[in-house]
Amino acid sequence: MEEKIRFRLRPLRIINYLIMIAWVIFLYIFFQSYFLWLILVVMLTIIPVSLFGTVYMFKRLRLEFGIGKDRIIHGEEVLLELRLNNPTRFPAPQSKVGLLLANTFLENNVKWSVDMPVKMHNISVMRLPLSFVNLGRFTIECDSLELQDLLGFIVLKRNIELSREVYVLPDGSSNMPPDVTNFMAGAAEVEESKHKGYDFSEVSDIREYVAGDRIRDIHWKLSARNDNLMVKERVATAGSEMVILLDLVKDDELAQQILGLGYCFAKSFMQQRLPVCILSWNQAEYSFEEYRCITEGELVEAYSGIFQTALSNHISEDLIRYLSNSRPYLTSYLKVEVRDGVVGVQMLQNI
Amino acid sequence: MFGRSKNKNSEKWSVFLAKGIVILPDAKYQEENRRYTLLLKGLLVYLIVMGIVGCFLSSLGAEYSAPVLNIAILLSALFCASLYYSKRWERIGYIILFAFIVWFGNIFSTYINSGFYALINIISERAAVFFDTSAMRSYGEQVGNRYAAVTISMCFIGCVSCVFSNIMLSRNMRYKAPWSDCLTVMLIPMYLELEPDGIYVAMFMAGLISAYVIKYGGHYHLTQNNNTYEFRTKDRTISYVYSARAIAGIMAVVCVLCTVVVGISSFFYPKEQHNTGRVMSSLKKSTMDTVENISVLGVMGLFNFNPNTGGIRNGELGGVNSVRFDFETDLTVEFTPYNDERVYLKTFVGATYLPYSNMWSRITDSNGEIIIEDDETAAGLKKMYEEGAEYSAKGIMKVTNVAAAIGAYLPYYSEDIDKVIYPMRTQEYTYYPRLGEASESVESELDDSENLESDMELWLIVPDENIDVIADFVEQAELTAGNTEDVVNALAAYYQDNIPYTLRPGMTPYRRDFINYFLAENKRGYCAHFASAATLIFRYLGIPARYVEGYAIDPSDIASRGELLSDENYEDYYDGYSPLMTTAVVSVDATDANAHAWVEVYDDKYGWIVAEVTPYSYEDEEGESLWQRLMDFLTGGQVSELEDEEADSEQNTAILDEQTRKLYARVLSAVAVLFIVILICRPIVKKVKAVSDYRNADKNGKLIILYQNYIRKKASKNKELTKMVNYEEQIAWLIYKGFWKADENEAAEYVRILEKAGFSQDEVSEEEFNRVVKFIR
Repeated sequence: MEEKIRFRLRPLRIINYLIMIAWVIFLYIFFQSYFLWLILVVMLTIIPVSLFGTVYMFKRLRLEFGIGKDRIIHGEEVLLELRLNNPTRFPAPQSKVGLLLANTFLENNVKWSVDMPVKMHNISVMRLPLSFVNLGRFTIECDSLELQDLLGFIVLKRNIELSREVYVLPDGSSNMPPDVTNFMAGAAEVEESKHKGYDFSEVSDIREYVAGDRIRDIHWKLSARNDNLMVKERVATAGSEMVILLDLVKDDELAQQILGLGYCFAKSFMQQRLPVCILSWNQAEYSFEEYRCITEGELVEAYSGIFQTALSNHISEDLIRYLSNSRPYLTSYLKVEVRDGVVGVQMLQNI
Repeated sequence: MFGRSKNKNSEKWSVFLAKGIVILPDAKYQEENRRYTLLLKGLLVYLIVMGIVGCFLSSLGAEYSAPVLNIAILLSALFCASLYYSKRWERIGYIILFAFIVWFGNIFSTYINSGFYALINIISERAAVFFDTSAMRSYGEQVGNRYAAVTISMCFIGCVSCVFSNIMLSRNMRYKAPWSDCLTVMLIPMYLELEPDGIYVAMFMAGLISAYVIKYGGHYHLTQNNNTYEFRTKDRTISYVYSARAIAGIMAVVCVLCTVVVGISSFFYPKEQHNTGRVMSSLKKSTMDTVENISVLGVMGLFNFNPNTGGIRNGELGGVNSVRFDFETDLTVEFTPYNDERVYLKTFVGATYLPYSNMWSRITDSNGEIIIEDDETAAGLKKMYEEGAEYSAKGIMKVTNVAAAIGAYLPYYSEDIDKVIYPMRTQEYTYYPRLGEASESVESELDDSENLESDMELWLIVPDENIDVIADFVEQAELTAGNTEDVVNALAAYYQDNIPYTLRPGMTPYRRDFINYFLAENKRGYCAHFASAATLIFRYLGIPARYVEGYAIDPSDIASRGELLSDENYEDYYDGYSPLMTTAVVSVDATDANAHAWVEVYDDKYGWIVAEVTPYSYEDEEGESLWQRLMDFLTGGQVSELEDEEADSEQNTAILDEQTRKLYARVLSAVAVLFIVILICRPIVKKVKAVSDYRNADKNGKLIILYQNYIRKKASKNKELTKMVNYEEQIAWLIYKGFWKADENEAAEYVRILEKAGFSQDEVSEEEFNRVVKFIR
């Protein structure tokens, strides 16, 4: 909702103009010239025209802005477009749009001022190609609109509330982890070792053996009947998912890498039809945020949720114990962390 | 964080809006419509230049081809504006422009010259009408076709004006320069009460106000790289550089507004109606004589080569456009008033009028020596007094020469013709006033010898050069020879009714006779005019007459400025008959306002008697000085009122000491001259010092001096550079803006060299010096 219009005087400009008028008046008194009288009339007439015309136009001035997408990949270019619509036939020399840019994840906000021309009965468009070089949730907000009248006597201002959000997500196509299956196998072994002797997995399908399939999945009886080895395709039990713990740090660059690596792992696991649960520490809530993802869309939503909170610091040993205690069913998880200044992953058991 | 980072793939710089958001380099390189913007700036220059030229020409009523002039100025303005399209075109364009101006000026030099003089002559004609004088100068016009000459001349002047206006407006929107130019150019027409056409006023105001609005909008600079946006990271502003559509909108609205306002104003209050009700301001009136002087004599008219005492100077006539009193005391006169008539002090008697030399000469002998004649009337009155006649009297008058010319200042009638008064000296004159019936006895003392007629011949001479004019005047005034008193009264009455008295009669034109010009053309003047003409008129009518100059003290002067000398005895100053009975000894200061010229006519019965023919003056400002008029203007007349009150209550008449005012004026003039000298000399001295410093510096010093001068020049056009505080930031900015081309390593090298030159004891090598200087130069 727009607020009322406020104005600010510019006394130096007013004084300068009044000095010019005073000079003309003095000359007119001396010369009594019709020429000077006309000049005086024009100079005096333009003052109310400038003031009232600007107020009239400012009330009808509309600002719109948009950004191409609200979820983009890290490094992707988007176009920020500001459109100032002046439906009247009155111009103005200058307008200022207050632009507030914030990165909630990195807890950073900066205010910029954008000067835009005001065209008569036209729309002024400013297109700025932007690139988001950090992951996170960015908000771009237009919070004020200022306008100067023709003579520069006053500056009109009103608050506006236009905002857009952009989530910058990691680029999942790069940094592919080398051997996701080992992690998957390890997780399964850990899982199955707890249930030794019992196979609670359900068989959904029988197919021919493909290199890499587990030995234990081979259907020996069926394979004996056929010329080829046949394997059971199992459906994971209800509690079977890959848990990824993101151990973020306050360093922007390292945090970016942790998030990126976690994203890649999650994506890879999902491609292997293994659901993923992403854990992230929320310092404000003092709890671990869980985001369960089966599809890439849910992964995007998960990261969007992560970006809505400020970047937290490294997860201490106490918090690991807290994690273990609060989630006894969690047998193992993949921890993305910084070790010796380098971002890496390791599989950990929840002891 | 909010600075710039270099894209590794190119040398373009990115701008960080916030942590993680960067504007791609390509944003800066979107091009605005430069051509359209230059076109608009050209139109702006056209409006202003054509507005000024049109106002000037239309106010003078000069005939010229408006379409040709408009097209010429429009094309010039557009061409000049286009010069800023690119650096290369700017260099080429200026060469072409210069060549064209030289060629045009050469080919049409005759027309340009003639057109210029045609305008001068038009101004002179208008001035002659305004000042009601025919003494204006005129110049020869080589081309008879004034229409063509004025058109071509103004095309040339307009073209040159476009060049200068374009530099002022296109770069920096300096609206004050054309504003001052217009007022300067229109000074003459405004002074002569000539008004321009409304269309040109509208054009000029539209251009001026558009320039004002665009200037304070702040988006008119043309960048070298033609970028649309400008990113100022220091104050976090993204700004558009200029918008042609926005400028066009502003100009359109302002043009419409000015046209409508001027049109409506002209419709409801036309200039004819304004002129009808026009009243000249008193301040302007006080400048009329000076301006008229300049109009007639040019700048030299500011200097009066004929200093005079109230317009009187020992027989020399004219020489000044107007009489301006300084109200300084010339003589101090101590005497006893004996009647209510004017007291004359005679100092000069002109016998022969020299036509075209415009002066009266005294009687001289064959050797050219001045002859001082005895006053027969004085001798007769003296005899009467000594014989104790009933209405005779004798008086003593002490005259002190304070600031008057050396000479005798004789009251009527005195024999002390050889008593010359030198400055700061006092003379005592014995005089025998002619009072009433006593004059009849004088007749017997007058010369009735046979030589009288031949003696009177001198006083009847009318120069041939003046005969015709005098004859025409006598006929026109219906004057006839007859009784002296009747003739004098008739002429005085005619003067009073037909020829106004003024202290601003204007100068007699070059090579014109003073009296002829006065009687036949000008028909206005002050006492010298009336007395000189009357002398010849009386002579023409057979009455011996002579031109006299001196001082005249009225009873009102005695009443207002007289000082009673209570220590003096009346009897020491006056003896005999007095119509006013016993009065007192008074001292009166006679100023240049009391300087006067009159006529003496010879009467058979009374001898030489005063014939006063100068009419009464109705000029209010006759006695006021420019200073007093200015003070009255500023204080609404309070100074004059206060002075009047002071004059009533005190014997000191002047509130402001004239000498003090002159001193202040001299001091102010000296300060103004000093200021101008300092203004002119300061940059010269700075330049000389800079050259000297450079020559005396070592290589490090020279490099730093050259670099700092370069940065200073760049910063004068790019204020952003002033915010760069060290070499590193300055060089980064220069590279960012495209003034220098260097990669990261080269930039670091330049910084190292400059820091070495500025802070290190080691001297930079020749190679290092040349490396940096290559970019500076």
